[in-house]
Amino acid sequence: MQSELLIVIPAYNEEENIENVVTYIRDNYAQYDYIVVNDGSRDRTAEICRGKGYELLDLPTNLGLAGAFQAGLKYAYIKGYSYAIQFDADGQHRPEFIQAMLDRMENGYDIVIGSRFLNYRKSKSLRMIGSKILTVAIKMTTKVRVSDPTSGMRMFSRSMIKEFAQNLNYGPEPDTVSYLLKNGAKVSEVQVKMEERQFGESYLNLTGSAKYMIKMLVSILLVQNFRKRG
Amino acid sequence: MSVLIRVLLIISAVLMLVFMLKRIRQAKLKIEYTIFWITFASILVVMGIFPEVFYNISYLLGFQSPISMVFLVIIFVLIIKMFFMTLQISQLEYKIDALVQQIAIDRKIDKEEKKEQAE
Repeated sequence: MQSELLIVIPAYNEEENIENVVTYIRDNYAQYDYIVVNDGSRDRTAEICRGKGYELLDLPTNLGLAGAFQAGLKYAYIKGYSYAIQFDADGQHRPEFIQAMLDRMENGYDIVIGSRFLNYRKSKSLRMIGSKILTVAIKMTTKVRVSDPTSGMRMFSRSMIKEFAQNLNYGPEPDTVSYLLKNGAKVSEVQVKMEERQFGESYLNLTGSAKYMIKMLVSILLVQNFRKRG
Repeated sequence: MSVLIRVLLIISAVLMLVFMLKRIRQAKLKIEYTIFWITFASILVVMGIFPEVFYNISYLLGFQSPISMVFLVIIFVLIIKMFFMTLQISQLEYKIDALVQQIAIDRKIDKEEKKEQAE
């Protein structure tokens, strides 16, 4: 039996985390289907997945998060899933919050974001300042407050799955959320908790973060205004 | 234009041509991609050999010196070329993304079908 929800787990060089994350989901949350998208990892990620018999989309080369996630959504679309959730392979996201997001989704939302800051204030670190700036930028352009725009835990409806699967410039990033909000998509947030990443390094170091912020701000404040929705 | 600049123009154009033709001989470059460079190089050669033509044009257009017109035209042509190359790269990347995703999905679905048949 196929479940209604597909958990899409993009993984790039996550040999240290992938086993804990996926085994935990498979053993404790068997009611949901999942798929690991190996984004052309150069380490043993794919090998581990095959060894353990995980459901695996094995991309032959590295496409980046947007391309890997899109592969997962194309698969979800072909397989006819009603919902798909973006789930990190590094152990940051906790599957116990999926049910709450799914419940919210069933109230007719297009996107449900798992937010760390719906009921909690952001701390004063550099990263949180970045998050705050993005919240303000989205508020400015869409009049909607998204408390945790950089959260990587987002659930999408069937119509969103189709749109993400078939179009260019639908990366799983705040600018896409902003663009969809502007175009009338219904977005809601559910309070979740997240862990620190368990092993390895996030790709967002200081220069990476600066680049990311510039890209997001230019995209949200300027470029998204000129897009035409197919 | 000084003799030095004319010689430089011709030498760089000839080098460009030699390089492109060599890549074609080694079957490492598609012919359609050399058309632009061959045309570009030819214009540089003409500039180097018959600068009078360009003196007259630049005088008619009101440039203070012919060399500034040469620079302006070259920069302009290169910017346009880069602009179109950016479009091409984006399109190529899109195609690669789609291909890679399709390969992975096809393999996965093949595997599922085989598993179903085995059961």
